[in-house]
Formats: sequence, structure tokens, C-alpha cells
Amino acid sequence: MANIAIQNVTKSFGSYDALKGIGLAVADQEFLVLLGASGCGKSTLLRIIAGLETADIGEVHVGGERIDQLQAKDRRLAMVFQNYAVFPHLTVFENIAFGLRMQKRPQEIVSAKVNQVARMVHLEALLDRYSGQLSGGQRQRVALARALAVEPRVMLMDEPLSNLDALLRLEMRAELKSILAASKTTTIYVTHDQVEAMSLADRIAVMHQGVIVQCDTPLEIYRNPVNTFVAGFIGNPPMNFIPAHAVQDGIFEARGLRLQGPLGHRELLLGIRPEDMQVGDAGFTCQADLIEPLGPNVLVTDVQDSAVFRAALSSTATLSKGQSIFLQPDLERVRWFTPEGQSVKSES
Amino acid sequence: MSTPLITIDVAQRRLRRLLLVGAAIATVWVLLPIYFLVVNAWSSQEAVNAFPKAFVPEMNHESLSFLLGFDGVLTSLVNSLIVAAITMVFSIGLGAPAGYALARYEFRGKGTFRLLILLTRAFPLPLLALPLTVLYIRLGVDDTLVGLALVHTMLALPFAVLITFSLFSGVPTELEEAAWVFGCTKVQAFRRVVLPIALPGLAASAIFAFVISWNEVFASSVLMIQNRTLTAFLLQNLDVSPMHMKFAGGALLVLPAATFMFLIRKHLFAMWGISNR
Repeated sequence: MANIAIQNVTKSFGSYDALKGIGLAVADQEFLVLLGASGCGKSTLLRIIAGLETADIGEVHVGGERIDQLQAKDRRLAMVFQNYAVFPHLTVFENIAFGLRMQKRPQEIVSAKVNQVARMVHLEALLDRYSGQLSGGQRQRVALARALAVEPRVMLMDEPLSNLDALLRLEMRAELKSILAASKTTTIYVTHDQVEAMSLADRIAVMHQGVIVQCDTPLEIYRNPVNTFVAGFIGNPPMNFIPAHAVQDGIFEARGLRLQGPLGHRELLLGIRPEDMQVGDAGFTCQADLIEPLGPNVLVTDVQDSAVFRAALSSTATLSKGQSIFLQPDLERVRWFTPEGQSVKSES
Repeated sequence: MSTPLITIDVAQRRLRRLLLVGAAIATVWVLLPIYFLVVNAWSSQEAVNAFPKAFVPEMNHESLSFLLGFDGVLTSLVNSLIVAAITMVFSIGLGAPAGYALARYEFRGKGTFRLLILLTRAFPLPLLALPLTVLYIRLGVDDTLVGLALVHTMLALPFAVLITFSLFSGVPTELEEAAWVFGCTKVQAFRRVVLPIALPGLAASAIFAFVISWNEVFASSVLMIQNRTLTAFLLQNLDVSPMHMKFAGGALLVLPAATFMFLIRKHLFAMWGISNR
């Protein structure tokens, strides 16, 4: 239980810059998710915090103590690995007890702690088994229990759910959230799955090409992305970007709709999420080239001019293929970006 | 629809029968000489020289007990065991760290190093015999068991390195990393995690080194005079011995090696990448 401060952490592999001056502060007991596509540096950052990789420059502090020169074993952190890394030659009990045994705790404390943690992750019936006799989900629990048992200052998790099948992942996600909330451990969680990030995080740090692009609460990142990369990465289907040009200062036209925008720009991109539009008498022109009824809503796609434009409409909307419709945006949800992709605040 | 299925079935069955016949021939090819060796080793002198041959041994221990009582046999047997044991320790002691380094670390010249390991086997021992003997005499390790074990280690080391390399490669890096994170030094992580997982394979490759040393004859004939190993001793003495002695000697050489191989067969298979289940 401790806060984390990461200052200017930089790492290169040969000529490839994996991390470019990362700065990040995580509060005590916070659940922070590092989100990004593969190769963005999120795992490297996690491994630097864990001590499995050394940064070229930069500092890592945990609970006010500088830890980046310490060996992994002296950092008093715990980690859950993507492929679980459950020791195959030890029983579930000994796996969970591993960290405690290394700390040379007396046997009665070890077994009390192991039993307590095993109950938490529902493994109490499997303590005598070996990992070869466990399912993927059970191995996952062992890895989690082993990490919880040492009562770490910080819990590091490297895509812990990505090897599970979809249904189990959903189940484990909910369980993980309640277990970690109950343990009150500061957690850094790496994932490429934006739904996982949204559902688990107190805050999300979106990473791209070795840089943290935006770090904020899930809702804030969803509502107010700082650039088109974040806007497109979070949310499924992704945000629409419509080229808009100013017909006079502060008034823009996009897809046949005139609306108020920021002052002092000629060309901008208008960002609107598919679910923030509804069919109306006026609005963006849209041709329903593709109609996908998804149950809760119906996804309409316009693929004209090679620019994809999507709307998630109420499933009660009756549409026929090829029909031209007007999509009225929720004006509060309209966002503006420069053609280079940076967010522009609309002062009005 | 059903016709081609049947054809495939027939073709498959034919292939399987072919495989079985092939396997049977190969098995007989290997086992028959050993079988005759064992039969004749446990037969009396008359039976060995008689014709037609018996297919069941008489369980006559005369030749074997004579051989064991023969002056020098027991000493050379002990020599063989000592040299093989030292070879085993040396080749694992030196080979396993090298294999671990190859499996875990990237370093300049790694590919060349792996090739060089194999290249040590490219020079036939007879070619090295003279310089080696001269060197050994100068160093004063000629005719010593440790000296011979060093030569055998040289023969066994390439296998030890390559086998342990693939063994350690099979232990996921994450297991070691998990051990570090949960409080192990590198040495502790190796001892508590990597070693137990690799142990069966390590034992197998140790015994493999043992067998290489046990079967080696050239170096121990050239370098040793007083302290010959069993192989060299028998080669020297059986040359002029009657037939039944040769059989008994052969059995004495083959059986320990064969027994070892039989005991570790499971791990050998695992070692060569075939599942042991």
C-alpha cells in the first residue's frame, strides 16, 4: 500500500525507443490501467517498475522510496504474469506460499495467510494440486493469490486476463475488481483491451509509441479525448471524424449540417461517437449502406467516399438498406480536432 | 462419397503395416547381437564352440566368474566407474552453466559458440592422441584417472551443453522472473525454480555422459598404462582370449550401459523433444 511516482523514465532497445520520458503518478490504493496497442511500451514500463528491466534514465519511487536501483527481490512488489507463471513443480499451496517462504515467515503464519488468500480466490479445495491439473482460470487465480499473499505495496498485472476465453474473462474481470478493491492494494494493470480498461480502472493512462498520451478517469477519456488517437482507440465502434470547414468564423459545415464550433479555425475535424446521434428531420446526411442489428441497438454504416461513418441507433428505428437519413448529433457531445488530430476546445 | 474414404483407410493400414515391419527389422537388427552376446556369456566353453547354437542360455556362470576373478578386471572395473563418475560431474558442472547461458542470455558470437561446441567433435581422437599424450606427460597427468576423465569430458561436453541448452530453453523465463519478483536472488531462483524443473533432464544428460565415458576405448588405451579402464583392459586382453571369454567380456561391457539407458529412457525421450507420456 503505497503511492507510485515515475519520473522521466526512458528506455531504448538498440535504435528503437520503447519509452520516451514517461512521467506518471499513481495515488495510494488507486487502480491505474496502462492501455495501448502492442508495442506501445506499456509492458516495458511495467517491467521497469517490477525490476525485470532497467531504465536508461529516469526514477521510480514507491511510497517515497526510490526503488529503480534496487533488485527485483528487494522492491516488495508483486506481479501477475500474462501466462500466469505458476511454478509447475510446486503445489498450489506452495505456489501461494512462495513469497512468504522467501521472507522466512514462520510456518503457522504462512499457512494462515495461504488459507485466507485461497478462500478469497476460491482455491481452498485445490491446495494440494499441481498446476498441470488446473484449468486456465484456476491457474490465473493461483497467480493472483500468490501475489496477494505477500501483501505487496504495489500490485503489477501484465495482461492477466488475455489468455482466458471470453466468458471466463468477463467473470474473472468482475471478480478481480472486487478482490483488488477489498485488498486496497495500489495496482498498475497493463492491457490492450479498452473494455477491460474502462471497467476496471480508476484512471487510464493511454500509451502510444512510448508516450503517455492521456491519463484520466475512464469517463473523461471517453468524453474528452485529447486527440484523435485516443478518441479512436477508446470506444467500440470508434468515434467518427468528419471533415468540417468554416463557412464563417465559428460556424462550420460538416456532412450538410451547419453548427457552431471554435473560433479562429478554417478546417477542423468534428468528432462524434456513433451512439450520440439519432434519426431526425435535419442533421448529418447518412446513407444506410450497412445495417447491423446488434440487439440493444442497430449499427448503421455509411461507406461513401471511402470515409466510414457509423451511428448506433435505437433498435426501434426502422431503416432499409440504401436509405438516406439525417442524423441529429447531441451537440454537447460534439468534439473538435485540428486536422493534425489535436483536440480544440470550443469556447461557447 | 464412401469409396475414397475406404481407399484412404486401406492406404493408412498399409502404411502402418509397413511401419511395423520396418520397426521389427530395426529392433531385430539391434537386439540380435546383444541377444547372442548374452546367451553365449552365460554358456559353457563347449556350448559356445558347439554348433548348432543354443537359443537359451545354460545359465553357466563359469566364464563370467573366471573373468571377474582375472587379475586386473575388478581394478579396471572400478577405474571405469571412477572415470565415468568424474566425467559425469565435470560435463554437467561445466556443460549446464554453458547451456544455461546459451538459453538465457544474448551475447556476441552466440551462434559461433554453438557451432564451435559441435566442432570439437569434428577432430577424430586418433588425430589428437599424440599431442595429447605428450602434453599429458609434460603436465604429469598421464595414466591418472582425472586426466582420462578430462578427455572423456571433452567428448561428452558438447552433448551436455546442447542438451542442457534445450532443457533450460524449455523452462519459461517468466517462471524465473516470478521468482525474482517474489524475493529470490538469481541464484535462489535457479535453485528453487529452474533446477527442480530441469532436474530429470539434467540427470539424464549426466548419465549420458557416464555412458560416453564408459564406452570410450581409444583415449584410455593410449593415455593409460597401469590404470586402464575396463573397456581398454578388455580390448587389450580379450584379443588373445578364447571365444567364450570374449563373449563374457562383451556382456560385462554392454550390460551396465544398457541398464543405465533403460532406466533413463523416459527422460532421454523427453530430452530429445518427444513427450514422455
